[in-house]
Amino acid sequence: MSSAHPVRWEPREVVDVPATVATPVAITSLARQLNQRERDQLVQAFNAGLYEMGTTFVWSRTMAGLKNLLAGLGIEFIAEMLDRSDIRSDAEVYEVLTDYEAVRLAEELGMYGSTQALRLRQTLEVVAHFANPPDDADEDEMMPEEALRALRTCVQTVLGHEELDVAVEFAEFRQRLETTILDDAAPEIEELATSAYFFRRTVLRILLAGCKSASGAQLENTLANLNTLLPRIWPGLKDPDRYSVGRAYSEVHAEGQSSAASGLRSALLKVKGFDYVPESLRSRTFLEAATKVQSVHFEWNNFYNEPAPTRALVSLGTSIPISAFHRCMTAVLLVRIGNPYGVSSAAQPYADQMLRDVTADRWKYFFDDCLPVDDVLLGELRNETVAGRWCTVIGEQGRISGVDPSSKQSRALLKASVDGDSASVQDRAKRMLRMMRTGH
Amino acid sequence: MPATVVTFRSELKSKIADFLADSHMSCVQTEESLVALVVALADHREEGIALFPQVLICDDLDVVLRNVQGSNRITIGSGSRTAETVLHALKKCAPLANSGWAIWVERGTDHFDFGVFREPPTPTALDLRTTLLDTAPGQLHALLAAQYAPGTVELISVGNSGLRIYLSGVRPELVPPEDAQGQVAKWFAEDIEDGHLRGACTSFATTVLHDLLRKGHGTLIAVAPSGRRLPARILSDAVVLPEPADLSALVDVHSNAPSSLALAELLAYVSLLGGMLSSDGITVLDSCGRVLAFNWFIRTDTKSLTPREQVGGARHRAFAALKVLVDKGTLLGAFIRSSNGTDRAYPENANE
Repeated sequence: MSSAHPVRWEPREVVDVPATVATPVAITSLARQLNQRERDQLVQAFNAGLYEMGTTFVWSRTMAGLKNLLAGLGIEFIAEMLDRSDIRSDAEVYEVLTDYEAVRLAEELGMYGSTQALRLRQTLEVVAHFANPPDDADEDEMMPEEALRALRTCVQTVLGHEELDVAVEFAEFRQRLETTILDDAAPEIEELATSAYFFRRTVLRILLAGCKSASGAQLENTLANLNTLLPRIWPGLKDPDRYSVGRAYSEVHAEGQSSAASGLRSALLKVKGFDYVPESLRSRTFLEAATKVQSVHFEWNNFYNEPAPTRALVSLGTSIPISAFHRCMTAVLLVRIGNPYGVSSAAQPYADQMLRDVTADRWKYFFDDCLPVDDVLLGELRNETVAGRWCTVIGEQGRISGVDPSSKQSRALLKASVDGDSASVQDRAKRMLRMMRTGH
Repeated sequence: MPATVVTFRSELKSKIADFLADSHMSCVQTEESLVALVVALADHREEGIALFPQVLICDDLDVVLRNVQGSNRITIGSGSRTAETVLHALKKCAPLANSGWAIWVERGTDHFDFGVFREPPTPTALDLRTTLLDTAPGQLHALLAAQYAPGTVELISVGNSGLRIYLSGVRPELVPPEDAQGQVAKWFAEDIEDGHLRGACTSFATTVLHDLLRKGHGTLIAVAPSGRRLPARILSDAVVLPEPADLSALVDVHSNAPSSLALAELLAYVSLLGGMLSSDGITVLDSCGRVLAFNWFIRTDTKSLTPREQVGGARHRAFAALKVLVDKGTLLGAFIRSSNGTDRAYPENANE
């Protein structure tokens, strides 16, 4: 890694499965993480037309491999990267990490590129759909080409690798943040301040995870680097990420971690950021409830499982702490826009109830400070069906009519949404996502 | 010949003026207010009941509360920027400022606003005092006044350990300057392997000890090294718990899953420890966060005591006997809080 480019890591290469390799036998022969017995059984399942069974097996092995690797990065790091305060330090990754989150996180850490991530998400949707078919799709079967596509993607991204690893550049950079103190005048600090939002946020999350979990010299390095970097990236940080710094302070303070609290306090004082520190951990209740909604949304059987956590979220009241507002909005909007296969009908009234109480000011805040860095929602809006449903949802919000976001991109997306132009919404979402991840 | 009148006022006023200057909070009215407040806090009672309020005086309450993680602020009143207003605030708020509530006074240009706020809700959180002391001076303007022990009031400010004012006439050279309570908190968690849990237990012990001791009338604490059983003959005159009360385990459970049940259990044991510390005799802790025994009466071999120790009170003689056990390696450390509020730990500065 060149020291002049401290935060740009590229996705590692996927396993080459040429288009000419198109049979289950040929593709499974490249799946190095499966043993011979498993490969044979998989081929037998495909040959017998048991596509759902075979694909479910491939998917479960793929996710096990992926989560096993992510577990090696440390549970605190995973929790911080996903901004999930509900994940405890003694939790097991496979218990708390949904498949969707594993796919998204692995993409962010450079384990594969955006195309493969897209294919993995599509595979997840297909597998989930056939594992728990909606009432109207009881008799539908998985097609051979769907099964083969899923198998190919899983082998290319995960199962084909002897040893899966995060991007080398990312691993090195993370290690450097934790083991050395970056020079305040180093050009790489300036480079970071002007890098794509995604990199800045990732660096911030690495540092916050370190503040919560490291000790001794590693903690000292992390805190020193946070105090150097935060003032440089703070002006460009959106509110949701500023709140993550404030919440980190609140958490280490509540846990009695005096060194970490002292370092975070110092950094917050430098940027005059105490407005972003929650007065209490009340916001945590909202965040955990919203996280639960988002988790079940991306899990199997989501149509049946969404109503209960959505109701629980709504029952917390309409006075959502501002530090938890973004996460709550993401959760209820995910419920409303559903997925390409539909929505959870029983959860809709609860989500509607919450959206009805969102004021015009908060909608403006959402479009200005939350949506432009919401890779979950923007990622979903790339789908045509979902984008169409989004237009309907936004069109129903009476309080949104006078909202005029400051950012040009958000303004354009809002206009397209109100106009019901789903194609334009898709396009705008893709652009905003690209801007967040690459800076252009 | 008229009597010569002696008061502490001029000495106190001058020290408080210096303290305010060091805290970047110089102000004549605040100075007058603090003089009155110190005297009032030294033995504050309402309807005959002793009260132990903490008073936070600051310029930007919102930022300061976020720093100390105070919440639920309630405004009780306001008045001109005078000592009378601060005393009025104490009168109105002190009965409210217990069980996790403290008093705030915000300085306006020509007035004081006051009320109460909730302290950090969990016993594992850093307390107001620790947070203010750990904050770099100069950027926030806040000070905390509270009774430290009967007849003793402590004033601290941001990054400034400030003043400890003994209204008992104790000689300054007999008051050890080191942080003896902090020493006990460190011993209490010293052998906990997990770094995070060690930090949490140290903070927990700091918060709990500070709060329990300032409301008590003196105590003795012995800390035994973990993993080493104290000989039965030594603890023959003690109430030894059949199973040590493992406070570090409760802190761990609460840290990992801060449920109301975990909090209730932890608070229940804090209350139990408070009862033990206020009992006669010595409370025995160990260095991995457990309570082993209380009500321990140690035999003192008067020959081994110094002449000064021999003529001291029973508590001081017991402390001297504990020091002998520390020197033998039977105990890791010993702590005494005298009834006049002086603390002493032995060995001193063991961790420095």
